[in-house]
Amino acid sequence: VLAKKVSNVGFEAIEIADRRPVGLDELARYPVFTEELRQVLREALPERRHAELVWAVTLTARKPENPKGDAHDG
Amino acid sequence: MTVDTERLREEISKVYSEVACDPKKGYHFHTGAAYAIERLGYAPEVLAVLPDAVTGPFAGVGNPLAMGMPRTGETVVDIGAGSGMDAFLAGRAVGPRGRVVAVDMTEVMLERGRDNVALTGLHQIEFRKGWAEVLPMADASADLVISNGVINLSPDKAQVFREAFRVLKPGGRLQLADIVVHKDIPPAAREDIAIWTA
Repeated sequence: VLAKKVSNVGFEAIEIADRRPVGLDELARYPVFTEELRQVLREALPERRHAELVWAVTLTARKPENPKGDAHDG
Repeated sequence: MTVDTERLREEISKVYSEVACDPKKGYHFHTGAAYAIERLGYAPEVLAVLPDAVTGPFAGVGNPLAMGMPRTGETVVDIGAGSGMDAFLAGRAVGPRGRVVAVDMTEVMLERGRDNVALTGLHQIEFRKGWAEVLPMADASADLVISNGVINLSPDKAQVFREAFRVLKPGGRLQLADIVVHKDIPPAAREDIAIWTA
């Protein structure tokens, strides 16, 4: 999904260079992951999933040498 | 679900201002040089040259510079730079003839970043107030755009990517680290989370 969004605005040579799992506790850094939401997730998901709820990814892309006009909507 | 952008920005500023002021407080999430080295693969010898004031508040999710360092003389933009660990690494790489524009919306982070410029003497790094969706940069002015754990915090991620595209020169590179939601979390929770993750 991330690569698609990057592609939609005109980037090319998109590569996912790395990814690692991110767990529930680490998600506390993001204001939207309130304690309430994390509790819902904690209860809704099996414990084995708590350590890899989302992925942290590293992505590279390049703006074309001859971009076709302005970036369009993603 | 309607996103209250102002409230979101306030909440983000509050959290990261706390990190800037008190990086050793003991957050639920990881911060600092040890985390960057042990979890994200930053080279210890590279971080060792930076003062604690730069590395202490670091709260990224990956290493966007692992795919390639900027070259001497290049212009780099760091979206949501925080106190600037990646920006300072980029600043050392571009050298005095290059430029790093570290963009952040949090006043406390900007103040810390500017203090760190004075502390390190890396005056090629400039901290500018701005938002990921409206970068304070001219069109086609950057060789490299980096970001670390920030784009997921934007309520309009497509606009962030459009801005990165706009400010890059033709052939310019985007290198970012961020979080993406796992596909098999419960639908109700996914609906909320998907708004915030890439």
